[in-house]
Amino acid sequence: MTRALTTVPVLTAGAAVEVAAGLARSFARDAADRDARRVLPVTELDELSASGLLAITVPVPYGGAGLPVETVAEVVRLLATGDPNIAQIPHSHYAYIGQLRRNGTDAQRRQLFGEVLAGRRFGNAQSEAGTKHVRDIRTTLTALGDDRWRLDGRKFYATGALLAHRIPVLAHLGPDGPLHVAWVDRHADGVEVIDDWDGLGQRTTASGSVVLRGVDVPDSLITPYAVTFDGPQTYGAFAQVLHAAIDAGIARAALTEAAAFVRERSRPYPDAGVDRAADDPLVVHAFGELELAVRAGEALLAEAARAIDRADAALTADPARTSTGLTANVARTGTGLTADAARTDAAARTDAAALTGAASLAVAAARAATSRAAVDAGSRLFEVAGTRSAAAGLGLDRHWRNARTHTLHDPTTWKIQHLGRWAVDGTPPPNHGQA
Amino acid sequence: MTFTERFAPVFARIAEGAVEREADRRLPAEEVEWLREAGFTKLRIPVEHGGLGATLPEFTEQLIELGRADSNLPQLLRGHIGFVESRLAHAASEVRDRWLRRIAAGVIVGNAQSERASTSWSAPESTLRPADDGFRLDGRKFYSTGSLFADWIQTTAAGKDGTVNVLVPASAPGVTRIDDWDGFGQRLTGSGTTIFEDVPVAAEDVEPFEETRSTLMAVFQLVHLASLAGIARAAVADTVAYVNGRTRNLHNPAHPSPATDPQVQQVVGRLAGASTVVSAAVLAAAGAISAARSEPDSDRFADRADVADVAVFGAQGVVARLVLDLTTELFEVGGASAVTERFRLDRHWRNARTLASHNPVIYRDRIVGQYLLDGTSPSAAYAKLREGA
Repeated sequence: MTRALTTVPVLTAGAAVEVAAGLARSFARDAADRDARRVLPVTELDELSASGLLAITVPVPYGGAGLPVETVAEVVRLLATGDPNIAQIPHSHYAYIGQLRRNGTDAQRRQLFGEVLAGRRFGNAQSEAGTKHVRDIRTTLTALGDDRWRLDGRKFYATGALLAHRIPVLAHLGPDGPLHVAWVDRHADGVEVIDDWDGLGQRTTASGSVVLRGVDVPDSLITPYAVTFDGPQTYGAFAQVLHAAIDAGIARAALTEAAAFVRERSRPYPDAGVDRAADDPLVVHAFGELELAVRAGEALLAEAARAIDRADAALTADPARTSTGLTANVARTGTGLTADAARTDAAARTDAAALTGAASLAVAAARAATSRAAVDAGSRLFEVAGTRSAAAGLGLDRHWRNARTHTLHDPTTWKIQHLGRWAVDGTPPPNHGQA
Repeated sequence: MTFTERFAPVFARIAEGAVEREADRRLPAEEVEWLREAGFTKLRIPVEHGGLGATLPEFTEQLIELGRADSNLPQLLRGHIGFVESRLAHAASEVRDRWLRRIAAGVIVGNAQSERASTSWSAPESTLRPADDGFRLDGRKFYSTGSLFADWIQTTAAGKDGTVNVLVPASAPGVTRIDDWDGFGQRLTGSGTTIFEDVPVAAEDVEPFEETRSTLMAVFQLVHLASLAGIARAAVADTVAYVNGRTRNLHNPAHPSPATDPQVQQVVGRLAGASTVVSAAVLAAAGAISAARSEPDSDRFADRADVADVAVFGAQGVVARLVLDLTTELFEVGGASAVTERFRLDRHWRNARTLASHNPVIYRDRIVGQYLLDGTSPSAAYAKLREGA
């Protein structure tokens, strides 16, 4: 094991949540200012790395905490209540740790998990401009012989790449070959990261372009990717649930900030016969409606995270998948899956498929609900806060801009389609990275 | 030539620069000149006074189209529009004739009413004191929308015998206009501060402060409604242009062209439906105001004015929600490129949100409900709301 490299704390679930809440409070302080001036959260991200929160999904056998998805989702949600930009930057970091857990060799895991435990960050380079759809990729690894490859391509929306130490790049292994992940050093020759992200919200996620020109990649830093979706998987659901967590955090932040504004700055409506706007029944009702929507999103988020944990437990119990070393300490209570030793492999696989499908649906519901809660809270907060809340200097519009930008990452209409197909004739959700 | 034919070319020119103006924060002074030259600012002045003689609903339709071109402009002209309507409502008089002719000749009037210090519009802290050659005005006004672009500024002050209405040439010595409005939307309305320091005022430009029942408040709200309806139309048009300009459909490879995707088509249809309803509600409100104004001397005027207020307030709640929702939902036609600041598609929501924040819908709904339940006049309820705002 690589404990010698470990420099960040290995957190328990309780500690992780507590640390995240503390960091969120401190990140919230300058969030509006960073948004207004487009300042990247460089020091904040280093604090986040040092806290150990970015290592919580490293499996126990590799020296990590191996915390369940339920905890990871809550950590990301809490970070997003402070600054959803900071919460989105490590999204791919967590997702690619999952890739490594599933598809890396023992040696690759030891090396790369070791880097994570030493406080290093993974970015991402997946999406490409000018292709037909989100899963149409052109970046290619070309064989050079002697276990070496050259990587060429251009990626955009590469969230986190700018501030990462290592960038996992999605590429074909050989022309039109199966998709693989090339784990390139952020500062390797031929790697250029361009800060060209000009979104109207989530402005400081460093989601720029990554250009790869003849980057030299050894075999040892290439892991399979396409195989992720050969059988039932929770890779897509995990990525999606973290997006839902970010939106849930934005929704809560908008509501909290609106409440503070109304408590401290709004003047009451004269006819309400109250001394404080916060005592006006119409204002209270509007807050009640928002609280309801935000709580519903939070509840569906937590349930979706637990559904992924249940599916992961089933996948771990599936002998065909055990070689991937899925987290050893995933909570398995209530799933009834520990007593199935007598079942055949096929039965276990059916179970896993059912549970991963259920997890994807639970995530679709969480994404749709948190998406709506975030844009609604971001917009409706002005109804209760009054004309003065529209001043640009306050930056209160950033919640809507952040929510609107981030919720477009995968359109809600597709989450509704997944749910609708299941409701109409029981069709399971598709098995890919966006569900 | 219809009004639509007359103004469409000007509106098109205004629309062309709207995105760039907002990005550069360039005030639309030149665009206001185009409107003045085209006769927009005299649309409501009767033909016999040299105007274009548009009815209020006809004018409202043009105002919506102006809002579609650039939602800053109807709001920027709100003081002018309100002033014109107040003059039109006056009984025939030399003062009325003088002002209608001035406006027909191209004069634009701005508004400087709100004060940070005072709690009520009807009891300003600005002062008007007698001087040898008339009066002198001192005071500081906030949110003085449009006064930056005006030839005359209408304001209120405390005179010797109570509150008075004062008209000041914008070029008078001692008038300072500052563009310090920093809202995240409607950024180019010039809703800044106006400072009056020992400004000479002619006796004929001091008028009694009117507190009689009128439809003026409804007219002021109608202007915001028209801006919102214009935003809705612009949002629909921008969404159609955006979808037709895209060549890849990220999330639904079954429909390689976004324009053929049934879900995209549905979103566009929903936006268009909402926009149609919004315009219809705004034009209906204009009709209700028009009906009340058609019989100013009848005993039924107060009742008609209540009906007009209810039409306006009732529309506000629904219109604000529909427009905020549609300017949020338009992004769901897919394509993360919709969020690039280059397109500034978020300006529709920012503008709508800023306009709607002037009219907290939860209270407007309540005023309508209260009127329907116990007959409380919306204008009485609104006066209280305004004093608290």
